[in-house]
Amino acid sequence: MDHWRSNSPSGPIDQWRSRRTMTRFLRQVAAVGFDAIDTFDFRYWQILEQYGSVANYQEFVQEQGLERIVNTFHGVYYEPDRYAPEVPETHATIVEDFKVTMDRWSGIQLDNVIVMPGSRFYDDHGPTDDQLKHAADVWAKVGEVTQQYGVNLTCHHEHYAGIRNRRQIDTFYAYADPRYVKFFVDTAQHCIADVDPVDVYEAHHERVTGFHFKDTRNKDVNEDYKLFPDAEVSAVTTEKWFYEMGTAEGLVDFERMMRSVRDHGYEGWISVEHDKADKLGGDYAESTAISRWYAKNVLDGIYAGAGA
Amino acid sequence: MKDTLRWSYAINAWNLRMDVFVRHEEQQRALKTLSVLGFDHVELASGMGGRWENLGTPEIILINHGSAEGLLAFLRRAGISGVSSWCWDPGQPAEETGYAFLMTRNPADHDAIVEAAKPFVDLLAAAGGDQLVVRPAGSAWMAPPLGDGDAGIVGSLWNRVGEVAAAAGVGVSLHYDCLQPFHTEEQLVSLLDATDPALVGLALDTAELTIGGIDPVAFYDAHHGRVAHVQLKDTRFQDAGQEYLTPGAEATMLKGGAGRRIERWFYELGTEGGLVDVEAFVASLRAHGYGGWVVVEGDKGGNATEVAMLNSWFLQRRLGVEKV
Amino acid sequence: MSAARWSYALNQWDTNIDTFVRKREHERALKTVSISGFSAVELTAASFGAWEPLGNPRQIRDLYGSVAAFGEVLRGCALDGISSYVYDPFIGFDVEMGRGHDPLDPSSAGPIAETSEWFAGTVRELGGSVLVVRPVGSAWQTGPLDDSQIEVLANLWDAVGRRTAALGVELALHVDFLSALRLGDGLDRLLAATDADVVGLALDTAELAVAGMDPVAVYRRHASRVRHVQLKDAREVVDEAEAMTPHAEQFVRTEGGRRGIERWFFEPTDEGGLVDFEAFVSALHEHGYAGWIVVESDQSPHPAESTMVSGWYVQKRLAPLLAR
Repeated sequence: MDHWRSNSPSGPIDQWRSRRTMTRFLRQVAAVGFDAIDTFDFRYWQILEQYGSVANYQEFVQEQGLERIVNTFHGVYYEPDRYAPEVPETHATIVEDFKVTMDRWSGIQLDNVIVMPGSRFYDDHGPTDDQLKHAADVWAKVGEVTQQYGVNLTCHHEHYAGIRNRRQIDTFYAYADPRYVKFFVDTAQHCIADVDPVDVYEAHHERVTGFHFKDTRNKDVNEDYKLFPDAEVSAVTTEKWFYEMGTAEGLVDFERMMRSVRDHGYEGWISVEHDKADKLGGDYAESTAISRWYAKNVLDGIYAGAGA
Repeated sequence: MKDTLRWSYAINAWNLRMDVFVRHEEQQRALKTLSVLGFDHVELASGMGGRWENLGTPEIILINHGSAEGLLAFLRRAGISGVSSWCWDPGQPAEETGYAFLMTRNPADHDAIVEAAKPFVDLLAAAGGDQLVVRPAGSAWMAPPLGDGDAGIVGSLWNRVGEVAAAAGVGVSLHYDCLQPFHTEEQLVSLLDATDPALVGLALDTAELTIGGIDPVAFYDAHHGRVAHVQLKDTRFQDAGQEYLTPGAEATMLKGGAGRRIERWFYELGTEGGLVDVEAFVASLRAHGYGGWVVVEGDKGGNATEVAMLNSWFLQRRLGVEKV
Repeated sequence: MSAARWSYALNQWDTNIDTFVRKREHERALKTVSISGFSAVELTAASFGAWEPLGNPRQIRDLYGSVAAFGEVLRGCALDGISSYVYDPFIGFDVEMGRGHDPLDPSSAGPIAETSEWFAGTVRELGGSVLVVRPVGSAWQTGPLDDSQIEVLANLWDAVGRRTAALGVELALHVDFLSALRLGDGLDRLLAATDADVVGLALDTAELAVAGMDPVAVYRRHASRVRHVQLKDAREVVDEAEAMTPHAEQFVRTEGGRRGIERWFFEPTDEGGLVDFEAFVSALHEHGYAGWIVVESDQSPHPAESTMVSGWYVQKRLAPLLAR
């Protein structure tokens, strides 16, 4: 996944600073044995400026030894008066936005465009039943658009977002048309929200089109999801939520997760994500290596044991 | 790495200062990083010794891991199968030897140096290692210019250490660094000539030779018979002339910018503006049927993990070496 | 005693959207600035929603409850308030990462003036006195400015200046090293075309130095117009041809151009760079400069260290030059 930070003579930088820093990023990801990358679609303008087109950027990725770009994450700041899945008046805008987005990315073949299906709710109640239904409706419409490009619309549930707990997730998918609205399991995000990632995967596995494998050492026990602007950067007692899989003291049971993925015959991509890995002295490069070590030395064997 | 050459990685890159790289967990993370990058052997470095340098000296390794087998078990936990080599500078005062200030150019220190070498040789042999890589002499700026007899004096010491090591099945190789006094090609060759090729070889470090003004490819082609060990890294700079003679060159030149604001001397393979022709050098190793270890080094330049990842990428994509 | 006051720019702490969001991070930076000898901070306008909480008045309000409440935080950290806000009209604030307005487009005058007023009101409320603006786009976008373009800019900034002056806030035009105003005599012409009572100059020592201009000479030429000073150092010059590179903000400023320069700006110190700070501050003294002097170290990898080191330099070397 696209999150990345390294130190430079002028302070922390991300890989998009220059083609030189992008080259170094891609080489590191390739060296440890990852096959592909995911990105954010708000990088589009940088891609145009630095690489000319999305297809050119993918070629640049391939030149460093990676296969392709698999998923893109659609990051939008939801506001009820302009753009919010729970607000039907904004749905035309949302659908139109995705028509533009899919056209922009049509130069390459993606698997998924990943969205946050719900807005933020800084209170106990979260979205109402009707609001969940509205959100399910708009994502089905958007999914129809993305599928015209052979791309799945898939939903990623942040631990601080409106559709975060098990009841909300189940209700949302009960309303959402399974043909068009897919599910993207993020092991750490679910775990923090006290949703068992394996259980929720098994309940909805037929529409799961991807994973973020990452770990956490903390659940939200302080109602951090109520914090502004988001608990990932403002939680009082948890300065760092995410750790790479294979971390000591991790709460996610990746071995069980992998057995379940195997047993349900999942054959798509699994993405590894390091979000804010540099907090508390962490290091993106090292997290990338350790997680790949874990996948190679622990998870690959489980997956290869299919049917055993 | 799956290759006819034997590849290893120097673990010292992570050991930036006394209070880091002490926890076993930190060491495991570095070892796992190397493992997933395709390396299955590592090179140790003695450093300053002492209990905070716990992969540094034999005494402390044994306190931490009990035995050579215990050390190997520790490495295997991360998927690393062995130790290729061990770097040791007898002139570096260490807690284990009472902070003795030993000089290889001083014959009176030779007995003590031979004694100090023995624990390294023993543990290295027990761990299946191949080369004790030594600093042949202390920094040039610390002592008078080389006299006619110096190569012979230093050579005789390393022959003695070589005998001890050979008895245990380990080789000794003299590491060229850009600050030690056998600096020019002629001086370096005079030192090699003063040693017994059956007991003592050269540890050829591509970046150090380049900084010192010696072309590593040409030197290897001319002297490949004496090269028993290789350390592979790149640099973007050369000594502008006599910078290695600057007082405190370890700090003033290598850390203090040499008055040229050089913040970093050592770089990953394939770095932009790199002076080492790594592809040509490795081709030459293959052409001459080199059978020793090739140790890739990050050597405290930049972020150790990033550099290791870029080095592995270079091996895979530019040198055509397949990962394990 | 001099009437000039010392402030520090906070921009260097804000390296990415997920940093410098927490109140506690703000407080630590503010306390560092305060204890390093500065009495205020300079803010920089940004548009990335709640992840740039000091980027505009709305975000300050969202995080702190009100602008006044943020003022309490500043005072709680032993600062007087802010000195200034830096606003680039090409940034829009209607939506996150919004697109703003080109000052050369006459129809932009209304919205730019409104946004300027919005920021100026906050400057006033937080005890500051200057709104620093980017007066025009980059040289590569415009080429040398013709008379009609100068007239458009003069009309715009005169109108903005009158509106900010009504709020008790001075307007100061900032010349960055890629600015169209570096070409020909653009800067002199724009200053001549604007109303000296309401439009001033923000003199940034490093930006001018990178543009190949001597900040002392520029100051002496326009001393009566300088309403604001930003003090930082530089080591490399970008000539006119390089500044004309298409998308120079990305390819030169961010990527470092063909030379691959990774850092343009350095905190003011006596370590040597293009700017002669002592000569510059002496010139301020000669002309009785009475505005803010904002020390900047944007691009410092260690913001706190830079603040402390430049705080020493200000207290021990530069401030005494003003106090003569």
